[in-house]
Amino acid sequence: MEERPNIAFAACSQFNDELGLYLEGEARPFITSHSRDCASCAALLADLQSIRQAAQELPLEEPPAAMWASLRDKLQLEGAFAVPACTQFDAELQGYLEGENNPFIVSHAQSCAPCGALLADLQAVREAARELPLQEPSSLVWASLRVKLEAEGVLRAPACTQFDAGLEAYLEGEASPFIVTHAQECAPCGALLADMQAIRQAAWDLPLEEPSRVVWANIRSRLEAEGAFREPVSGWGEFLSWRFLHHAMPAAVLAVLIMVGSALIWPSGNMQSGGSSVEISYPHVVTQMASAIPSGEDGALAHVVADLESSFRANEASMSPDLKATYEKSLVSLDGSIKECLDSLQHEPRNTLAHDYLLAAYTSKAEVLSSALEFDGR
Amino acid sequence: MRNRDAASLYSFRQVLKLIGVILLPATLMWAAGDGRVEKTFDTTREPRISLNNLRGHILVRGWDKAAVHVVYTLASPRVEVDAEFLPNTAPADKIHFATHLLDPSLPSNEQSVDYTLDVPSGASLEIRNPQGKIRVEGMQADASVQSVSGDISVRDFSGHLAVRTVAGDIEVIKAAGNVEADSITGNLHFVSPTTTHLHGSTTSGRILYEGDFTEHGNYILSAYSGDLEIVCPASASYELTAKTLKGKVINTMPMTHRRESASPRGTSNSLLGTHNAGKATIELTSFSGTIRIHPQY
Repeated sequence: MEERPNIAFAACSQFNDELGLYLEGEARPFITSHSRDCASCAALLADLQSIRQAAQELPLEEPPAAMWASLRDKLQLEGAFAVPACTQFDAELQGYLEGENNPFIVSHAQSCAPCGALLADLQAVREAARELPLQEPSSLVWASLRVKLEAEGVLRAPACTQFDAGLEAYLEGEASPFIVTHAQECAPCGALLADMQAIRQAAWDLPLEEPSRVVWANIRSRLEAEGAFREPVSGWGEFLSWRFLHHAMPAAVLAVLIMVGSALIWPSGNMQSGGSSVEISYPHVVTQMASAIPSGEDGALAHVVADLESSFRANEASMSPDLKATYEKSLVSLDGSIKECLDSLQHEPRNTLAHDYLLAAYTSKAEVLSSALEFDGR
Repeated sequence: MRNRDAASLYSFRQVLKLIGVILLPATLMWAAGDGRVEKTFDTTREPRISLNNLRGHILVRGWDKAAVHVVYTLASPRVEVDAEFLPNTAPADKIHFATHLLDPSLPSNEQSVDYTLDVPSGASLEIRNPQGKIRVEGMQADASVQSVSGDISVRDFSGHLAVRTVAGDIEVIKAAGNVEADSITGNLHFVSPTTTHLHGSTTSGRILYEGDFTEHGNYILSAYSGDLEIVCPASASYELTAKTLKGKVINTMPMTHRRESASPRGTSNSLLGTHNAGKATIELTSFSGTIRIHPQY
């Protein structure tokens, strides 16, 4: 007799334990089965279900302001409302702890208790970490670190060092099977080789840009002055060659003065006996020297042209006759235009059209002389 | 029967002799070599081709094959042509032809090498030939062509063209890309260009321009002592600035004249004005030559 009340009590106790979960939506078959067997538990279940239904049907009402204020204070204490300053503090805190100078961190920590507490805690942790005794990591840690660095290509293996040493020669055309095989085996080196080859190909594809004419004329003049194009001569040839003299211009002036002096002293027949080449060459030099050498940019070009012409005169003997005749004819035309422009500028110094033509004529003459020295009948 | 066989045999031998007489000299000539060399290189569609010659005629034609076909004829066995190409494996992207003398004392008339090149029309060219004519046809990419005394003729060209001679004449026909032509004593002749940028200059040669002007085109022609002549259709539309210091400007095209702005250009004979809507810009200058502008008849 006493067992039956105990069993019933246990079932109702279980019913009470599972009732809350059942009412929140969980499936509890025992609740429905026991409510069929136990009238009191069934009545309790029915009452609770009716209360829940009535509560669901109640209209929504705004809680009072005091309740909201109390809720807000509680949330604020829990840090749910981070103000923008605190967001900025969080963003810049790491940099400050790593040594960056940041006055905002210091000032905000003083005005904001939570942020100040956070900063203090982190500083304490950092201080404690500094005071920790140094300990050597285990060899396993080092080995693992090395493997990782090698995989990332940070540590260069001996083969990679050899690759670096031989890469330049390989790119310049030297055969090197090691470079090819190592590039296939080593990803970082292979990527480096591919990048260098792509750069080289892109350089080939670049369009050719021709420097301005004056640049070529200046280069030619400098190389001529340094003797880059002179053939070695010996004996009297070396004595008489332009290389004996440091500057062609003074030598040309000296030659002109000698010729002019000779013309004044001796009869003209002696001048003509020199041969047709003399008659062709020197009048141009005399004509050019007789004209006033302009100053400024014109003067610089004129000097470049004069240097080039001296080199041309020194080498014209080696030129084929028909080529030489072509150049001579063009130089006569250009010298005529230069003289005409200089005469115009003497009468009208501000004539920019004449000045433009003069510059163009000097530039063209420099080009022609450079071309002649380059082709040189070879 | 027997007589007929003997006669046939005799005829057959006569024919053989005749063939031998004809073929033997040809064979000997072929064995001796006539200096003609023919080569073909596989290339990309837009290779870079350069040619350095000493003397001779050069003809370059564009075609639609990805290959360079070169035929060159040597005047002497003591002249050699080097052909270099990159990369070493086909297709080549750069090809360089260079003529050089095996004997520096070779007479000028034996230094000649004539070239005929068929190249991809998208190839860029660099040609240098001091003596001898150069002719370029049907190319679409950039080209630099230089000579000293040889005449240069370029037609049906649509890339950037730079042509330079000392004494040779320059002729550019139907060019669509930028054109720069310069000579010292040579004449310049432009025919029906459709380019938007044309620059031509010569010192003592003359310049003749025949054709219309492209809208927004820029044409600059300059001669020192030579004459400039412009022959264009009456429908041409351009803004003209023509100036000569010591020569004359003769214009028979109707123009709306404009006043020259105050600039210290000095005393000159000038003509500034607009023909029709003034869509192209033309600048003609000559130091002492005569500038003529007249319509096509």
